[in-house]
Amino acid sequence: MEDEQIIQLFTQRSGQAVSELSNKYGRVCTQVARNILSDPRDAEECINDAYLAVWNTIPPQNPHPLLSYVCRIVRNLALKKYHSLTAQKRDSTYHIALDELKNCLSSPDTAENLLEARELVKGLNCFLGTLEQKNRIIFVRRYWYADAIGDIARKMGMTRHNVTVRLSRIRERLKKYLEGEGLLP
Amino acid sequence: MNRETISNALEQINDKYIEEAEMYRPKKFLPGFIGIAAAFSLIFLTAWFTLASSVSVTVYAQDTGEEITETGAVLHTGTIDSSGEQTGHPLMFYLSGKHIERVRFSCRNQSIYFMDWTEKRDEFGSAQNFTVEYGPDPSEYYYLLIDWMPDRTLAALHEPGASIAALPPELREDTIVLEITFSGGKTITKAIEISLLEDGSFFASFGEYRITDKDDFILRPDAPAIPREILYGNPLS
Repeated sequence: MEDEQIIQLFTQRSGQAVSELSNKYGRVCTQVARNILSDPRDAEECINDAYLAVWNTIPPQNPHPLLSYVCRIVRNLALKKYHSLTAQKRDSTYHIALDELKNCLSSPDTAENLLEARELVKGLNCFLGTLEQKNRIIFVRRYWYADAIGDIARKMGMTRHNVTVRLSRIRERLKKYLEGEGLLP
Repeated sequence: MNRETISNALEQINDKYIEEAEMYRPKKFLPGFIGIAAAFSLIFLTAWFTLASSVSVTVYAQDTGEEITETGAVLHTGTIDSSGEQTGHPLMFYLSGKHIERVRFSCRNQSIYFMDWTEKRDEFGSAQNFTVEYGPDPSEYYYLLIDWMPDRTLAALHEPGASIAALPPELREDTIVLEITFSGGKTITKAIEISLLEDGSFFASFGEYRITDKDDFILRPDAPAIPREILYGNPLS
């Protein structure tokens, strides 16, 4: 079913809306939640909450694209849950992926740096625009979807080793790019 | 910059990138007859016009971009410890030069792994001898990586009571010979010499090499290429 049709079902308050949304994007939502939350029960709860949030926001929202709208809600809810949990959850793929970036972009947490966080978003989006499509997808899959290296390798039809090396080079490029933009000391 | 800052920034990346990453499906690499013919024509013409070209080749370590010179240097990209644990890649490198037609790599004691980021060339998995077609575009050389893997040394260090200092020379030293053929037909032979230091770091140098009768490892046959459908096929499709 097309996104517009699913949104129309939500607008009409049809009971079929959530099941159609789940049919189309349930798999990717589950993947996003499971990558951040180790416990499948937490992930399931998070997805149900996300469907409810979509139900409550459409209408008046009319999101396009629907995929990123739903995924963002799932990701936000999963992150909230993640932050509320104790250190025992810190073995998730998301935590490991963030550490890779943190090590690459490490600098002291000064107030000035935090103020520059907004600029970081802008810089990150510009940087993604400079990447070759395949590298950009690998980066987004790893650091937005928090996919495991093996999952990315399968999705991209590449070896795990190749994905690891590409990520290493992308992080290095990102660091240089942000340094060049004055966003890293 | 802490995790929260990075996480917040990631949260706000553009919708189009999120959608692109989810919708992407890998394309099958299906070179048509025309593409192959064009590629061969290009190689032939390039070779024809570059007979007298330069034949210098340099080697750079991946990650640090540090040149591996004849003098040699301690590498900062990976180490191993006495218990056989490895961090990073002790020696992952790429070549820089012009008009390199092909390079035959032969590793004396350990194994090497070739990766082609451009996905145009054959790969061989973990092997000791193989030949890589470099081709006329020197900007691609940066994407052709060789990863040296000291698996035999790591296995020996896993043995009870083993230590780096007690390892035999063949597990502490290695040679990767590069038989380089240029598009004009000229060939040169160079080698990377690698040594494991007692602190677990590696020292490497790159220079001229003369193959002798004792170099049996050069005579080993090339490893077969991994079929492309295995290398680049999508197991989910």
